[in-house]
Amino acid sequence: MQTIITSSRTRDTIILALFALIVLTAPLWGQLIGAGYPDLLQKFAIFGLFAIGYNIMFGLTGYLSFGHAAFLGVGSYTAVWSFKLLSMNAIPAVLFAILLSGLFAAAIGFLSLRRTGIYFSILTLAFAQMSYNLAYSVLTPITNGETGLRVLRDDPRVIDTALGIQVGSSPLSDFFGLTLTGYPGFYFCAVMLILGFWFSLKIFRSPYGMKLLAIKSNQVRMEYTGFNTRPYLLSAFVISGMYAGLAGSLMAITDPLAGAERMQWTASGEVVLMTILGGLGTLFGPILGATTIKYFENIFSAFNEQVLHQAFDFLPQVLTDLMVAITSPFVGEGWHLTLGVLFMIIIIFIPGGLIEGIERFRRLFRRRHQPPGENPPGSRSHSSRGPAT
Amino acid sequence: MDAFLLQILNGLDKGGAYALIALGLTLVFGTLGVVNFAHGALFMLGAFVAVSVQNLLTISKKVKDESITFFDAYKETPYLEIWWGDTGTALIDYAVPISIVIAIPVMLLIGLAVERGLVRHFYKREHADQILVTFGLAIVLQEIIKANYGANPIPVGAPDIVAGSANIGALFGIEGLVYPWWRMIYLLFSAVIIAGVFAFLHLTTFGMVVRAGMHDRETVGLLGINIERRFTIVFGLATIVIGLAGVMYTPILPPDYHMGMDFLVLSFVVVVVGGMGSLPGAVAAGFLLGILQSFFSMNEVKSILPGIDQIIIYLIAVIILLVRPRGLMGKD
Amino acid sequence: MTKSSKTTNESRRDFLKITAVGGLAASAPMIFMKSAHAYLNEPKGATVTLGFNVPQTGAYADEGADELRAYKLAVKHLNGEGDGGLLNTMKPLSLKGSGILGKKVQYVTGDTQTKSDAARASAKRMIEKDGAVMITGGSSSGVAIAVQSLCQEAGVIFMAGLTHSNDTTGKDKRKHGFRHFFNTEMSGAALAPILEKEFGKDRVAYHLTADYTWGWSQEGSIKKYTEALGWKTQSAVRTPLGAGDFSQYITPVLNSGADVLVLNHYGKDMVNSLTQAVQFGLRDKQVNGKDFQIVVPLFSRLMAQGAGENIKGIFGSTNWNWSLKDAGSQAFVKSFGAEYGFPPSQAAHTCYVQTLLYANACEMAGTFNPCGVIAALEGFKFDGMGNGPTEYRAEDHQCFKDVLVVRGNENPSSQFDLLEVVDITPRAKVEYPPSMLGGDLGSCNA
Repeated sequence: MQTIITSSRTRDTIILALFALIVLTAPLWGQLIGAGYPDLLQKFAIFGLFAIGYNIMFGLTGYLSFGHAAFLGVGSYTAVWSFKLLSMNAIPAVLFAILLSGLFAAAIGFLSLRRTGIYFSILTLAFAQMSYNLAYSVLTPITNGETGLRVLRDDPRVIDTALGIQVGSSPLSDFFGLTLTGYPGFYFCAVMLILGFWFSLKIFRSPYGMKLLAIKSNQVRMEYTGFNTRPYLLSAFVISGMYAGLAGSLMAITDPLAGAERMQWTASGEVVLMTILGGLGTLFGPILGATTIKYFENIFSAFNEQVLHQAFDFLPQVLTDLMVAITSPFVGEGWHLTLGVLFMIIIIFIPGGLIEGIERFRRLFRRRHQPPGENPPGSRSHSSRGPAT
Repeated sequence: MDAFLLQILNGLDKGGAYALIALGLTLVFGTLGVVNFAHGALFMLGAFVAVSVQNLLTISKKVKDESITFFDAYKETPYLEIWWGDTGTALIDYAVPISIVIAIPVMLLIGLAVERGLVRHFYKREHADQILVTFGLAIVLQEIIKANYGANPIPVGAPDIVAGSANIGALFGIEGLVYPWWRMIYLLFSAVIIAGVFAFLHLTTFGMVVRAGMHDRETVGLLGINIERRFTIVFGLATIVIGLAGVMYTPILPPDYHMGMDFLVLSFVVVVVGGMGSLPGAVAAGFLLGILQSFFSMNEVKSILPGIDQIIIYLIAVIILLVRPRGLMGKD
Repeated sequence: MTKSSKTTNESRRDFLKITAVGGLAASAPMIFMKSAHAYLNEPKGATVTLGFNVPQTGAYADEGADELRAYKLAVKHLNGEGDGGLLNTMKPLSLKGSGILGKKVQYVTGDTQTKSDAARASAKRMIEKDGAVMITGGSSSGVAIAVQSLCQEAGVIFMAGLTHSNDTTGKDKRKHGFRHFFNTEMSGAALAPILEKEFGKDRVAYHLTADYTWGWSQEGSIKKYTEALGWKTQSAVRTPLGAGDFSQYITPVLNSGADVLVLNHYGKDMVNSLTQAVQFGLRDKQVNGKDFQIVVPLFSRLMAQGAGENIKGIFGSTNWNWSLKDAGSQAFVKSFGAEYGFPPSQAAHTCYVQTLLYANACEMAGTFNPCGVIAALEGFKFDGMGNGPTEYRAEDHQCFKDVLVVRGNENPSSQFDLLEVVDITPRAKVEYPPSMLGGDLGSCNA
């Protein structure tokens, strides 16, 4: 028993180290796939964090929330207000965002978790849509509506003023003097992502995580045994809401603007899709899903005929034109189409999402080289999925 | 008083539309257990059946406008008008009613293809997988329409005779109570379709088996009844219903490729408020939400509660779901 | 990605690797810092990159596609290909048809999705990855304001696309942003005299307004100018963006006593509310002994197609229309028509002109340095680009030119002939003091 625990600990350390390695080297491998610039790398980290947190709720407990974008939005608005009222330092922004989105999640979770299945989903959706609609219109004094809440030069910033810190004409967030845009901003997000991943790993491995999984596989039976599931569900909901709030604050830190659209149902839907696409209930899946979707949104949408012509330039003229004609509906303004096709193909052929795809590939590879071993962690089989809703 | 009556009419009209849009979704969930995120896209496809029929009817003889030299501008005269004169004009005018007839087989085929080709492989899969695959399908359908018809809305008019408004107040001696003909037709149409679906499920043997299957699929299967094939037909039926809802909606809302997504959330809210899988529930919820939405949009209400019309649908959904665990008429 | 049987030894090696590669990664970005350049993204090679950021998905995708066509055409003309377009008519002209400052123009594209977040992400990619010195495009004020402040922070030039809210060059104006499009203030000033002439001084207006910043801006401007005429405003009702069915907002108009309905909607909302208002018989109504009228203050030909027959006879304003007969407009329609086979939209015109103006300013300044370009653009007066003599006002970076008042064509001669130009309101009539809309440009950031 002792050895098993030790080896699983070692394994987790290795997983974490490997994860940190991959994240911190993102600027290098990002170059290879055309994603090596700060904004997209920041988005990878931020949405990875969002999806990890979402996975704690949806992946472990099976409760499908359709309103997590609201917590992201609350996190963003809180962070920007922290910039406006207190200081351009990122730390208070992060802390307040986590706190406030946690409170918001507690309130919404308290009400929504009275119901299960699709009824729960629609309750969360309704709360989030109400937040979005109000933020876009009547709450404009707080949210600045369509334009989005921005940091302005003449904001009070009481802490900065007290400390005599001056800001330029367009104030930027900082971490004790280090301006958090560009690559420093990415590394800040990356550290948060690694911390968030570590926390999620801990939850996955803890008795608490096991109980959440048990709720997923059979909530009724757990309640019959006299086990009160509500505190567990609510705490998981609040934790995932705080992850969303953290992600929201990071969006505001790397780019001091908070827009209402990030609370819309499509944004909530996006994180659901990210999680399922990558691999629901797995450790790495959600991050992989988030990276894939953000990559498509930013890189595929940027391909135009000029780029395609350059890409296929090595072919004879006729073939170049043919290839451009074949591929152009799928890039640029057609990037949605590619995404839709990708969703369908993946879920039809590899039901467990991208992670299962990688796993299958690995198994195929391993079968040739060595006898099958134990089930690796993080795979579907490790945290099997029960009925989702 | 007349303002009040008009809002009741608005509410009924909206309610009819919501109920009709939600009907197919709840039918598919109730029988097949599938959460169909492509439902909105099927609504959009129905509307584009009307667009295509109108385009076919108005294939035109093009006469170049010679005053414009920088590009080719044409004065278009539909061939139908040239060949058949007023009869042709009338045919074009009736594009929407004609589309209804054409939409039935077209939507049935689409429904069967989607069920056979995709959805049936997901009966036993988790809801999460169903959501992802049907959402993917919705995006693909949407993008195909966008590639062929562009992103802008396309106007499709109701027949001239019902394009305007009826002075229904005159019947009851009330001043200023006018309401568009087409909206009243829509209300009537949804009533007929809803009644038809109910009659089909309750008065036919087929319907009985399907309802039994909704209740307990395995037992029905054990009785030696091929429930799968019946499910295919149910999916086809649901697709026809949503397609017709789309065709009929075109004169009210000029269709564009994205209209399905705009109605997706709404239809889910209606279905869930009514009780997932309950047909009467969906109808009741549709009317309830429609009427309340109309009332809360009145200036008198908005002046007390600014912005209430922005959130009223969701607020009602929250209240109902908190009071009634399974929606209005859902079963456990 | 996962490890099943690793020893502690290996994990230590992993850790070393992390430190080594992580350190390398941390130092790598420093290479990309500005220090080597006088200003951000200074073009060092034989080319200069412009960023065209337009909506490619969502409700404004067709408008975005038209913007992109215009940009491609502008790039062609700048590089000396094609027929030269407005290079032939622009006065004064510093461009030579050999790129900008001798560098060949190339471009990158992106999708704003008509969302502030997506638009900023896309613009950041252009700035950070593709090295764009100028960002342009977009189809909403929210996006324009969001991207404009981004460009200010980053230190590149922003040439706003279609944005009509006063705030873009008012409350939210920025040193690095310029707008060629007109605004709600100018729409109000241009429309009011025509509305007076057509409908008289004694009218009661009912506003339906899209509930977000642009809608409020337009409602405010139209109210201000019509009330100055003597019109009364019965109510101004806010409608949710993307409401779809507006029936619950239209029925109260029927018996409100108002005799003009002002639709402060754009895009899909405009198409839907107008279609439905006509369905409710508003245009056949008689109120206060006058024919009931509908006004759509901001008209777009592309969008108006969606409302079909319903736009006939409806008044509104527009930035530019292809039917204009001046030499600049004609030259542009000719090039665009020859290239794509149909006429350009007002969005296309704005985007094309702005690209040329930016390039021209670079030539004038002799540099791509944004500070120099801004100085050249500020107060720049020119002609021959459509809309007559035009000025980019130095105080707020708003473009001042004649404004078109249009009416839905009753008897179109072709599918493109939707709008009929009723009046060209001279620039002097729509001008306002720069201090009126507030805001602060800030300073040049390079």
